[in-house]
Amino acid sequence: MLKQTSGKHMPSLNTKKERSVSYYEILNIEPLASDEDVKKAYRKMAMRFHPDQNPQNRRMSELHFKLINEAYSHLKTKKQRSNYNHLMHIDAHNDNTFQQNTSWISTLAALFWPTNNKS
Amino acid sequence: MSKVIGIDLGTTNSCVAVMDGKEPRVIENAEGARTTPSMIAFGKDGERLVGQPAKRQAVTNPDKTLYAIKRLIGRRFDDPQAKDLIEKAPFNIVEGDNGDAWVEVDGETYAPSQIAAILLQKMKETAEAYLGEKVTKAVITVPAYFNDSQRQATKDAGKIAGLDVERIINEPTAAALAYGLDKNSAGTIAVYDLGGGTFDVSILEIGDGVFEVKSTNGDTFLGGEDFDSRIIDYLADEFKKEQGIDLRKDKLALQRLKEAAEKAKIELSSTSQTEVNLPFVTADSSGPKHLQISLSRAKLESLVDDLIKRTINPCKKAMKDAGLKPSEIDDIVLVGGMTRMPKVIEAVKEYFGKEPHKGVNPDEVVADGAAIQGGVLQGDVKDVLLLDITPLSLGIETLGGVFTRLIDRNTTIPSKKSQVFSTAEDNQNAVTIRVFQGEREMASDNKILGQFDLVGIPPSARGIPQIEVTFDIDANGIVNVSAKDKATNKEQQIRIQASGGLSDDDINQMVKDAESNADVDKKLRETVEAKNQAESMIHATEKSLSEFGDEVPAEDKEATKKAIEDLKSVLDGSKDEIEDKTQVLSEASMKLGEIAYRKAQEEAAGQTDEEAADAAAKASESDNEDDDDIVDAEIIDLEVEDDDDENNEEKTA
Repeated sequence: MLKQTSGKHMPSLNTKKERSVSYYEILNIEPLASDEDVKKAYRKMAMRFHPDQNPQNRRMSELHFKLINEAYSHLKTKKQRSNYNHLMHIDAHNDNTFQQNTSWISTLAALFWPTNNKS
Repeated sequence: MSKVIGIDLGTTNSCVAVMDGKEPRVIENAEGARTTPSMIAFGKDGERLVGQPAKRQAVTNPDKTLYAIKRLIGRRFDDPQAKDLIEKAPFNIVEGDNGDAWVEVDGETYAPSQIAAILLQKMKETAEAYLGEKVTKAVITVPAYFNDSQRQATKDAGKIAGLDVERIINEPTAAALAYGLDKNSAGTIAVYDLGGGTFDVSILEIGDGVFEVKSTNGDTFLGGEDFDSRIIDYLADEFKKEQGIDLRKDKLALQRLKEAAEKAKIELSSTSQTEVNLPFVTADSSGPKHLQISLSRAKLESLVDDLIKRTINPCKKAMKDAGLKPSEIDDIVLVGGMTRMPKVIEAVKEYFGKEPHKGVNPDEVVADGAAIQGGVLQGDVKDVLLLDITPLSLGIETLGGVFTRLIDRNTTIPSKKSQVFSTAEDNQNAVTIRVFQGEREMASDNKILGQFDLVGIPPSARGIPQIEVTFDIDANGIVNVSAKDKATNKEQQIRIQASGGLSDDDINQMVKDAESNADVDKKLRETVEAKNQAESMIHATEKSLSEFGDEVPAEDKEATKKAIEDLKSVLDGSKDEIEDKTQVLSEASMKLGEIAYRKAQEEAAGQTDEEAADAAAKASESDNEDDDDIVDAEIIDLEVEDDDDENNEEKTA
């Protein structure tokens, strides 16, 4: 029989040790974005990376879209974003910390979708 | 590349559509109808009837006419909801080898997926006839609230029918696609789908071409069939009060009652009063009994009031899950034939506080949406994206039989989630991962999807090992579950896929059966056609023989008579035999034909003998080619007559 471990599980992508990219970077938004901005960004990302839109590249796009989904599910509301900021030690008023990383999404896109110039 | 067709496989009616340019288009079946009754019948000679022909003979063949198979698909035999149909259906429902509910006809058992496959084949053929090419790919819809086994069993049905099921999508979602594409709209909508057997409600947000399902809820055993049942019970009770006979015990009477109930229900959506009339519905020692009961709309509404109310609770739950108030819904789309009922519209209006949208065809919009999704998957429809969700929570059983959710209901798919668990006992060296789907707190109250063991965990105190369990759902809703011991990196996984109740071997066998059945059916049909043609030829020749027999040379007359006898003797034989002898008769009776033709000419036109002879001579020159056409035309007439006869019998039986 399995036993549940105590404590809430951490977001799988962003345990402190493995920290590579933040959910904000995945959706290509800033921590100060509004609910509406987050939704718009999610739709844009979904339209671009959902496996149905990338039939030649289903497997990779599926992996990618799962990350987008995970990011969105943690950033949907203002409250969720403030929790996440706290957990990740992100200062929402000073986004220098990941300015250097905002090119992540385009790098990944260039890797996986070299011919996709939709956006 | 062959087109991806969209199929709405309904409880009572099915519908198929394809993309025609930028618009979905519903395809008419061979009978000329846009929807096909979801009924399959096995006739006396073993031939299979699908759709309208099956429905037409249901009254006289109740135990071999299968309907509402969707209510059984992917269900266990001991499922309480399967029990309900077992009690009511005139056909036999038995326990399959795998414990699922199967059906039995003439001593043969069939998985519901096999029966559904016959329907899917019909829809496939309908599309092929329209497109003029082979169809191999389809998007099939299911109720949003279908669980994993029901979805898988539907997918299996597609496979058996020779279709690659590119995607299973939810019916209300499909409806939303068709609604949204049409209006090019943005906003939040509710889809209220009350069909023949199931009820679904989905809340969607549409914007920038993305159709995002926020939440869904429903009842997989609530639909028009239940409304019909209430009417049947009412009529049967009334009849019993008057005559003391329970019509529900008589399969034939029950089938007529069922038809009459459906008809009355439909009529009462547009009129306020109707009469149910079933002459000679049964008989006892005192003679035949007739059923004649009038039914008002108000009475119907009182009979089904609680059924309509049952749809509101799922609406509330869906709204709660979406985090919305009814006033935040911009539009309500009604789907399914039952939403034509004024009382249903009223209930929807009352809950959401606004008039529902009336622009979509409730019978066709789901197939339209499936075709659109087919177009998206094929790359023909651009800038439209459907983000669907998993309707039920997924998780595993943990200590004390508790259901621990890993993926909550209404999670957008594809999705992946992991969680770390540990052992419950000291030195526990193996764990069993039992995967469940459902909303109940105890695992055993939910639907088990599968299980597997992770062994070889190094001995240690309880709570020390770290077992990471990962759930992964792809865009098709197929679930993969894996468990990994973080200390040893040992991993086990299971693909929750064979849970449609059929193994790959079963399915392969059924595919073969379906193919060979299609061949047998084709041969059977051809033989019947040849036989019909032969019989009409015999009939026509005998008629001419009795009228003009004396005017042909005696040897011709004898040869014709012999040819008739020969043909009669092979009527129950093979198609080739029948056709051979038909040809012989046609040649032997040529003289007779000429005379008959000339006589007819003379009578009809009152021409002079010479002219008539000329005409006859000319006609006989091209006789051979014309022969087939003439006989064909007669066949068609005869078939129509046959059908009429049957109909008359039904009406007066």
